[in-house]
Amino acid sequence: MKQHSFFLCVLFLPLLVLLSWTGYLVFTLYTAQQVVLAVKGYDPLDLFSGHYIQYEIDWEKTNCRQFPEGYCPKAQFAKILHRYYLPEQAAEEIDRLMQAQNSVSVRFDMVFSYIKGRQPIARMLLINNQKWFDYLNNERKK
Amino acid sequence: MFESIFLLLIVLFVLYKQNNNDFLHFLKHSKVLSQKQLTQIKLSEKKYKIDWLYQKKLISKEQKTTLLKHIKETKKFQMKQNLRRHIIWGGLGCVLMGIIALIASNWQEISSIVKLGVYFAVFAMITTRLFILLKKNKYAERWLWLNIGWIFIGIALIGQIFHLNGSPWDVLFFGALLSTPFIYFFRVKHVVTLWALTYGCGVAFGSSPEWAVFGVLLVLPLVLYFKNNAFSAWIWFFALIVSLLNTLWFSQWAKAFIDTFMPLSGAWIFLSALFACVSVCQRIIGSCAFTKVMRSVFYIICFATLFGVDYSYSIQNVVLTPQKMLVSVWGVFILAALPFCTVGLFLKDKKSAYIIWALSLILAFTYSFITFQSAGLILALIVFAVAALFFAYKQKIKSFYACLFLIIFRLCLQYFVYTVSLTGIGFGLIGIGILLLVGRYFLFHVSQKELS
Repeated sequence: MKQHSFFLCVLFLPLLVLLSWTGYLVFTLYTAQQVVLAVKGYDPLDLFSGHYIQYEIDWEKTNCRQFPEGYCPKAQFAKILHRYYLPEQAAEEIDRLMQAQNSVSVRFDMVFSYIKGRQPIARMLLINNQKWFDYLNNERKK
Repeated sequence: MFESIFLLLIVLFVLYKQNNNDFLHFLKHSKVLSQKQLTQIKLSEKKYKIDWLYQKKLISKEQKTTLLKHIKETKKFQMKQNLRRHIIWGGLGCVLMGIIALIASNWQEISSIVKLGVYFAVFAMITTRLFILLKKNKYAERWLWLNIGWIFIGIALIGQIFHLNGSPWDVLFFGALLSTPFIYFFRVKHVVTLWALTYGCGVAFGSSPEWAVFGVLLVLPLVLYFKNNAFSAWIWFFALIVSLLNTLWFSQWAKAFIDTFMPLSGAWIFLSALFACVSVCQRIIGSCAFTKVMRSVFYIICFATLFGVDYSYSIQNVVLTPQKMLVSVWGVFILAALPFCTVGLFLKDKKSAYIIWALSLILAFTYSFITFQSAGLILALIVFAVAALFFAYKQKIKSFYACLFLIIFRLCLQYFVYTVSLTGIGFGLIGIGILLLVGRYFLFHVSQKELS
């Protein structure tokens, strides 16, 4: 009986860890303060990670007053690799927009869930203050 | 990113090799010898030599003949069995990579909640099944592997959904850490070695040096394995040292060094070179379970690298950067070594293997290293295929499977050249996996018929 309990605990431990981790991420995502940062970047195709935007934060265009500290916590954001994963169908279009970011009047922003001292989590990519999929849908309708 | 896939391939493919082809194992189970005789053999350094046993009158002439006959038959059977195992794991690996590619394609149509829900439901089912099997004292190695693979998939999925910013090394570290409970249920010793390597690499090259503190976890199994498997223990010890150094101060310097001088595949060049050395050592010091596994590791790395290099060249017909050039050189080396390994493995004809190896090396370097084009790689592959066909003709059928595999391999590669979308790649890989598994089923039936 003891052995069975041991098996049960040990075997389900990874599952519980992954569940807790997911729970923690969901909790952080929805309870943390949201900050909007201007970004610029490109879409490198990775065979095994898929399509994602490798972005850089444009601190010059970012409003630093939105942070509770009153200044931009650049060091905290510098720790993370800046990736935002995209569906395959939309990646090409967004990449094209990002490439033409300077010539066309398109502004990219990233919404982060931010807690002081913790790793920020990218929540949503905004294109001209719209969610990226809404923006693409509107553009397609035009 | 290829590095992580190599490691995954290694974890999934190679260390399935059990020690049941070990001679002592055979002696133990065939009950040809008594316990006393067995002990004497174990004490002897020349345990693999039947003649020596006979000269010392430890076994009778009848026993010697029986043993030799059994060994011959078992060897043949083992070769086929090993081939079948490799095919199974090759197939399962392809299916797994296909699933990863499908996840990577990030279908927008399926919401994140559904993705996570399905993932955790399947995870719970697999774990429950494993629990039931272990509860009944049944050995469930395949379910253990499935669980480990599922953990890695889960990390990738969660990372994608929440846009987490980790490197592949972090995935390796976290995956290896979560897989730890399952490792203890394996009966195959070298799974532990590989786990230690995975863990060590994850800790050493991961983006968070502070994670290296978890290297302490390695201590307990290290002590356990020092008792009966010195090789595993040393590898483990190496991982532990890397972890500790990383924790202290070494990591930043090491990373900077590798990034400067050995971008992209630096770590893997080092590791693979190590495996290659082990393969060579095997020929010098003789065969043992560890060197056999290491040879297989090298063998798998060859194919994985070949696949990666050829594929990357096929889809990216662009000017070579220093990084890609390095991969090119590495690919050329691997391709040149490939015939040596494979022909040597299949035919055991060293002289011919050396000749083919040298020929491929010259061709590959002439066309690929100088021109920086993939033509050399393909040409070398053709040379190998022709050579293998020649030997297939000479040796009747044995290397036929190798040729068949290469032809299918190249055709599959061509499919991936024309398939740019990740969804297509995913389905393609799953298709290949299923093809391999179905092929294995037929091969199994052929072997059964031959045996009967």
